Amino acid sequence: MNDDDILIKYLLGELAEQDAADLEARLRKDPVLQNELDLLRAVWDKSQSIPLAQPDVKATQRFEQWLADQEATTVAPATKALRMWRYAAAASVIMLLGAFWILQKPAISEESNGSTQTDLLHWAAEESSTERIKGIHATVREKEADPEIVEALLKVLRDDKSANVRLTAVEALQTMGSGDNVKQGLLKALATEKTPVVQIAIINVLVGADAKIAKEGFQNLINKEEIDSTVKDEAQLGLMRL
Amino acid sequence: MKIYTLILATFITVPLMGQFKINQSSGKISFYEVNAVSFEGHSGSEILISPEDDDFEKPERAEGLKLISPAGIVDNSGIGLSVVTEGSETAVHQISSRSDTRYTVKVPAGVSIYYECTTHAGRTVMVQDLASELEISANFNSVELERVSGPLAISTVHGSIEADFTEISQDNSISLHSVHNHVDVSVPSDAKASFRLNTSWGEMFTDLDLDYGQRDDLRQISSKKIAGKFNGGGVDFSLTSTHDDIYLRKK
Repeated sequence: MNDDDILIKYLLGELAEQDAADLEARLRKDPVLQNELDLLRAVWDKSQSIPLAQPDVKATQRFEQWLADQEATTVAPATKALRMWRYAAAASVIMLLGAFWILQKPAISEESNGSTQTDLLHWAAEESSTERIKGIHATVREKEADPEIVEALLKVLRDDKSANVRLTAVEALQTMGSGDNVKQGLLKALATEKTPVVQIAIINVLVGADAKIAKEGFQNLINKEEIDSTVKDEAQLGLMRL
Repeated sequence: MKIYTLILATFITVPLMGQFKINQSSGKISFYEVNAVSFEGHSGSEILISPEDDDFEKPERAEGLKLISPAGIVDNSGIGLSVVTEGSETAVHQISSRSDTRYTVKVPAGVSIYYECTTHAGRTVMVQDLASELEISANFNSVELERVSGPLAISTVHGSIEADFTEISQDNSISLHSVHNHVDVSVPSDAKASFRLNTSWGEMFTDLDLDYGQRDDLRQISSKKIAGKFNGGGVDFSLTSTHDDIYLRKK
């Protein structure tokens, strides 16, 4: 199971006791993971708070009046069973209309104006690298540091197949301030990133944010044989600056 | 096997005079570890790949033998390249890692290009008259672009990037990033762009009249990061040189 599956099962109370305990231990040590859980919990809570749609009261009254009028003008005697079927049919129509209205309403009532995590993740699905880069710029343009945007950028940094797109995500994160979520996320990405130009960009952003927590990560890079020598030099320079 | 043969027959013709043709006018072509390459846009409907010399050919001692690659790829083009097309995407690999043969690649406007080269053998990527999307991810190559319009996403660790734009495409974005070398760009005087310049250790030079807006609008982390609009702003245009200088010129 990946982390997202584990977190969802934990929220739904479906995780085994030992697995839940292990997750809680991880959450205490990993603020990025804790933040992901908080975001999922917020979405879940919001979806639970949406009220069920109720049909318009006047519409119900008009329909009942119509039914009554139909009964009054019916020539053939209406049996009790037929009357019940008509009421059931009417109720079904009303329920279907209500369900249709609920489905049309957005699950989360946020405006879509290019500044949400959802929009950034939408851009992340574009086939063209320059489109995805454009999407990152559009999402972070003149916006205050937003934890949701930070999480979305970190996801792009983890998952995008293009080094140039990941590079743009790093540059965008640089503008999101020097909060712990940014530093921790970048440090985590540095441990798994393979492309030198992106590794170097992450190092420089962490140094610029005076992220003392990055020292151990930099030293790990220097110690790993397979790391590009240019990246090691940058990490060494970063250690000196920190 | 029959289907594979049919695909090859549909998209690939027999090399003529050392030139390799691919019947492709849309989609994407990707180049991996092809050391020296020049891209040109053209009005034709095929991709044409031509070697400029015969350095890729086998030495006499290897007569009767086949050049093999650790990646398991084979020369199916006759010009030292493996060319494989699946659907609307073509992947090109160089068989010999030490060959200095420069390949000229002529590309229809509807084909986007991806180029990746990680080794010391990477030479300057030359690009001219190109309107296609171009993405480059390189370690040692420099990149020289003439009469291009974008969109572009180019990064190199050790190489420089020099670009001369005839116009600036307002589609998508332009991003030029070098770690250890300079970035030098010329744009038309009527170009519309929203520039972001970023350097950690270098300097930035320009003769453009940039509108920097209100100070509060700029998210400057250090004094070496500038955002400014040219001619009212337009396409996102990012220039980064971590350790060297940035030059932004008006044509």
